[in-house]
Parts: sequence; C-alpha cells; structure tokens
Amino acid sequence: MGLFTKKPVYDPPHPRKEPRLDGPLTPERLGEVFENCVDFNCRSVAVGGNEALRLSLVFIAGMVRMERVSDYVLRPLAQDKTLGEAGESVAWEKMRSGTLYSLSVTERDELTDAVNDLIDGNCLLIFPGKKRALSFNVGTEEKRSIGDPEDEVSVKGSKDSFVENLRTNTSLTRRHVKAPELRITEQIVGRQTLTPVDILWLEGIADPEVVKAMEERIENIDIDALLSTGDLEEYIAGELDTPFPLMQYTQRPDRFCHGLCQGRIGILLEGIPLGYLAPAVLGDHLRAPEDRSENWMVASSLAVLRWLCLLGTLYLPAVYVAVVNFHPEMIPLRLALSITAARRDVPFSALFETVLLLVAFEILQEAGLRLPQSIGQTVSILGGLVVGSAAVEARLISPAVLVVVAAAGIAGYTMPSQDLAGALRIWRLLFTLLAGTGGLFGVTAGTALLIGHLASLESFGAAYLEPFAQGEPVLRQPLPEDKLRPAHLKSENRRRQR
Amino acid sequence: MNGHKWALLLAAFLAAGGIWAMPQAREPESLRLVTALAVDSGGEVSVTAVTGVRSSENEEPEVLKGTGDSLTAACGDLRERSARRAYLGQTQQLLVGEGQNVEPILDFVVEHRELRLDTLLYIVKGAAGPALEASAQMAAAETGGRDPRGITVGEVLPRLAEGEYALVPALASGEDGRLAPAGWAALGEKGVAGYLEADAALGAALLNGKVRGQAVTLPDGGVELISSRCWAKEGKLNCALIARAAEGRPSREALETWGNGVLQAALNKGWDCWGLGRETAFFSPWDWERNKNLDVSALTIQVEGELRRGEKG
Repeated sequence: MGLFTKKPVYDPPHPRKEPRLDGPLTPERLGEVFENCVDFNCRSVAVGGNEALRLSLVFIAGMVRMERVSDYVLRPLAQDKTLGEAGESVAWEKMRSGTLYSLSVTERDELTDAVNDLIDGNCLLIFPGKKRALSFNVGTEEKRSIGDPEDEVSVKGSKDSFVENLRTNTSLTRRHVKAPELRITEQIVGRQTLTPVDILWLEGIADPEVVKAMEERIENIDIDALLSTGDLEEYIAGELDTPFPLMQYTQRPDRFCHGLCQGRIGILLEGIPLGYLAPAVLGDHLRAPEDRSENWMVASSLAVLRWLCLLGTLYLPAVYVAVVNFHPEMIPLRLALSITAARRDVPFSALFETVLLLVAFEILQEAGLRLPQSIGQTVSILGGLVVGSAAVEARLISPAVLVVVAAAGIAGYTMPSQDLAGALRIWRLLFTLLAGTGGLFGVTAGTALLIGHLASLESFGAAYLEPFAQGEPVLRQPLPEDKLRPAHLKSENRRRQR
Repeated sequence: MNGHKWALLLAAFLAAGGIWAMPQAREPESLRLVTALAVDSGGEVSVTAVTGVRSSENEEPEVLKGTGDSLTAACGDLRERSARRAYLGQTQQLLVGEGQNVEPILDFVVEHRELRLDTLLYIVKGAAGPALEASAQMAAAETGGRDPRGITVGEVLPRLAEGEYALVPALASGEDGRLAPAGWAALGEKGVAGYLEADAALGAALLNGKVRGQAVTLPDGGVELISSRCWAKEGKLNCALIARAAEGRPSREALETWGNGVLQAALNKGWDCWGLGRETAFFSPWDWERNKNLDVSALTIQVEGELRRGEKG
C-alpha cells in the first residue's frame, strides 16, 4: 500500500447497465422503481370529468412545485370538458400541444428518461396501457439567492456571485456575455448523483482543441458521485503528481466571463457555487480579480508585490535556516549578534525550531478554518499572539524565527489563489528541510527541482510557466495597449481590440 | 514523472553540484563571533581576537588569544582556548602589528574559509594584540557604522600584486592605552614602507578623496571640506578642492595654498599610493613603463579651489 494509493487486491467488475432501468413505462413499473420511497406519488385523474377516461399523474413530492401541478396541470386536465369528450389519442395530442399550461413538455417512451424527469422535478401523465408519458416541467425553484462573492471581495467590480443552481449560473454568465457565440453544452457526471456539468466557451475565440479535450475528459469521468470540487478537478486536470492548481476557480461571474472572453473554457456544475476556467497557468493564479479595475500602475505595483511575496513565502524560512546554520558570514554583524543572543537559551536547533513553527502555523490555520468564525478568530489570537509570545518568553523559540515564519505565512496570504498558496506551503516546508541539510546549496537544489517540476506541467496544452514560457507580460499593461489575447490560449481570434 | 526519476534527478544534481564540499552546519549560539583580529609576530605568531557584543546590551567582550609557529597554528590555538567556537566569518577589522610582512597575512585571509576580503585592514604602530585588548570594548561593540577611512583587504591586495604601494589607515595606542587614528601607513611589497602623518596625512586624504567634513583652519577663518578630486597628467597633479566657509572670512587663495602644501607633504615621501603613475601612463600608453614608475615627488601641483558660502550641511 502506498502513501496516496492503495494497491488493489481484488478487482471486481464495474458494470454499467444501459439503459439503466428496463421494463415498460407504466405507473406500476414506476411504482416498482420507486419502491419504499415515501415521496413518490401516483394518482389517477378523470380527464375532463369523464370517469371512463382516466390517466395517472406521477410526481415526486418536494421536487415539484405543488401550485404548478394543481393550477397548470390538474385544473385544466380535470375541468376541460373537450379533453374528456375527445378520444384518448386526441386528448393526448391536445395535452401535448398546449391544453395544459407548461413551458416545456416532452414525450417519453423510455423508462430511464421518465425516471430522470421525475427526479428533476417533472410530473408525468400516463394513460393506462400506453407505454409512454407526457413529461411537464413543474419543478420547484428553491435556491439560494445571488449574494456577494465572499471569498473574492469586489470593491469596484460587480457584486454578484455564483450560486449552487446551475441554471442560475449559466444565466448570470449570459447576462455578462450576451454574445450569441456563447456555447453551453452539458454532460451528466456521477452514477448516483447524475450531476449536470456545463462546458461554456465562446465560439470563434476559444481553441476548439481545448474544448474537445475538455469534453472528452469530462465524458471519461466514471464516478459514483460528483459532490465536491475535487471530484471534477482531479479527473480533468490531467496531472495528479503536483500540488499546483492546473485549473482556476472563481466565485465571480465577471471574472469567469473575462476568462471566456480571453478564449478560455469555463465549467459550471450543479451544486457548486464556483466557475472553473481552463487553461490556467502560473500567471493566472497571481492575478487578482480586481487587477483590471485598478489603475494599471497600481495593479502592476501590486503584481510585483505579489511575485515578491511568492518568493518570500517560499524562501524566507529556508534562507533563514541556511544562512543561520551554514553561512553566518552573510548576516550583517548586528543581526548576527542579535540572533546569536536570542538563540542562546533555546533548546532546539534552528532547523527543528523553524519546522516546528511552520507546522504549528499550519495547525493554527487549519483550526481557524474548521471552527465557526467567532471561535476561529479566538483560536488565531490565542495561538498567534498568546502562545507565540509565551513560547518566546519561555525561550522555547527565538523571536527571529517567529518573525520569519510569520512573515512567510502572511506573504502567502497575498496569493489570490488559495490553491497556489497551498502548493507553496508544501514546497516551503521542503525547501526548509533542504536548507537544513545543505544550506544554500540545498535551497538551490530545491529551486532547480521546483523549476523542473513547473516546466513539466501543462494545463490543457498551455505551458504552466507562463508568463515566462512565451515572454508574456508579468505586469498589467494599460488596457488600450493590451491588443491581443494571451498566446498560450491559442485563440482562433487573437486580437481583442483595434 | 515518477518517484524513481525524481530521485535519480536529485541524485544527479547533488553529485554534479559537489555535495561533498557542502559547508558544515553550526548552530549560531555555539559560535563566538570574532569582530576584530590582531596579528603580531615576534619569533612566533600571536593572534588576539575580540568577540562581538551588542552595543545596546551591557555585555563584556571576550578576548581570545592564540600563539603558534604560523598564523594557521595560532588561529587553531585560539579556537582551542575558547569554550565556544571562535567564528572568524564576521571579522570586521584586521589589525597588523608594526614591522611585519603583511603579504603572508593577506594571503591567509584569501585562503581562509571564513575570513572575508571586505575585512578592514589597519596597521598598528607597535604591537597590535595588547592595543586591541586595551580597546576590546570599543572594537567589540557593533555600532552599525563603518570607518570612513577604511580600506579592505580586497582593495589592498590588487595594488600590492601590481607592485604598487597601498595606503592603509594607521592606529596607535593613545594615552589611555586605547587605539586612536595615527595617519596612514604606506604598504609596500616588503611591509610598511613608512607613515604619512600630520600634513602628509591630510594630503593623503585629499588624494584619496575622503575629506568630507574635514575641518581646516586657514589664516582668515575655518572651512569644512566637501570634496576633492585629484588626477595626474603630463607631470602635473591637478586637484579640484571644494570647501564650505565655516567661520571667519577665509579666502579661496588661502584654501588653494593650504591644499598645495598638504599635497606636497604627501608626495614628498615618494610613495605612489594612489596610482598616479598608472593614471599618467594611461594618458600616454606608448611610454607606459617610464610613466608607471613615476616619481611622484617631482609632480607639479596645481590646486583649483572652490569656496562655497551660505551653504548648509
């Protein structure tokens, strides 16, 4: 058994029955399918008051909106005398063509399709003995209202954010990008959850090869349930042996739509209030959503700051350990004397002390995240201030290492992508261990490994080391001068403005 | 890339990078940071080291001593006598006692794993060790500043390698036994050639261009020097001297006369510590050898003074 994978000792068959359900489309068979389901409902209705002409109304309680069923299906069905006086086939045709009030009606003759319709919130009308049904969309629209993007605070941008409902999210996208070239295709993922996953792109701008690759990857997902983001990300990112994010997620429809307009592919899925964008390279993860709203000089300065923070969060603890343990001549004398004096009564080695604090920092962060917000803040204050100060006063750790680890941690929080920040935290620990083993030589070896690793990564055909791979600008250009879409997106239409 | 490939890549990188030459890890608290090192030789070599203390703390510096047949042996002896390892990588000042051949000491600095080329070099009139011991508190306290007269080992070495003289600050024990500035020492191939003191020292400072803030008393008042720039060409030493009138009514002519006098005093010693010969040779490379070995005492001095009035700072 490996650390991350378990060796299969028993490889059972993995059958996928197509169609999923067999048998005729009848109320009785539907009753068998939904046996022991208290929310399954099937009632007989006399069409137009004619007791001789009855049909079955089937629905799942909670999934349909009762008023719609009562007012727009049952009421005309029971009260329209012409339906009762007509024969069965005429009544069927009348119901299909508009006598019953519903925006969409579909004729089903496959049991599996009918069952899926029921689960989606449709109601079915079935004449006895006919192995077909009329499916009316009367689903409930219970959903969370559109709120502010809490994780990507918007100061000058739009204040809407994605919600759990897929159709709401596609509608938000359509409201931002009104181009008729916006394409939205859907696939169902998850044997048990049957989660709809939508792929969005702009025809004529996005690279069709990437669209095709995305469709194939989603099609190849064969899992039980698509309930969390990892259920999708890890299956379509294409590379598992890396902590670096190969797709970008956002809560903000404006950012999502900007990605589509750049020529990237978007993914929306039911139940997850996020939109995914691909390809996503290193530079994308260092761009904040507000960058385009800021003055270009301010945004560029912040970009430089973010890159410096990336280096800071990655290297500060490692360089501290390397310099203190291996190259004390590099430290200015005054600082060297302070470090020496501060470490005089500390019982641990500089490496152990730094690793200990890095781990403690992660523990504090995890504790703060998993607890309710009010308790989380208390834990952070207790851990960061009280325990930190007490540890320094008790000479368990030196103040210098506390400052270094805290500075590295705070620098990590400037990363616009928390996925990237997570990856950097892993590499930071690795660098620190290498620095404790070989000083700056170890840090250099680690850097070479990291660059090699990043250079080996691709996100849907785009080199992950962009903006360095093709020399694209790191800073935010003045928008009127930013004429072309990024080269790595291989857009069919690179020019975005005159 | 699978795990084996990563391991192979790492192993190749470490092998190619020379993993066996990696420095040893040392915990900082196990070190005594030496800030000043004095070297004397009279039969056997003796070294005296002062460890650093923070100026904000009331710490007492430790004075470490070692003797041996060579500088290496003396430093080894010094380490053995210290409870904690004496670390020479933070040595800021290297004091060399009078009458020694400086070249082997500088070679030792070059070869030593810890000592650095940016260590400031001083020549002490008399024995360096006892003088440093008497000034231990002063030498140990880290003030964050740097001696404006300071010349580093790295600056001296190429001049000596070219067979030229190098100017190094000289120190001498004062009445209280503590070290104090005592002009400049001219270092030659065979050690200290002599000293530039009083007017000659001021002339040396003018030639070095390190005069900012130097107060000078002239017949009609006092001035504070701002800058000096000297260059030699065609048998003439030109000096552009800028000063600020500080008190009284000093004249530009008096400033120029003063400059002429101190420069003459410095050049009269005959040691070209400023590369004036090389500078002259650059202007006439076809006569390189003759110009390079220029007799500096024969140079005609021309000082152009500029006196600024009403200028603050």
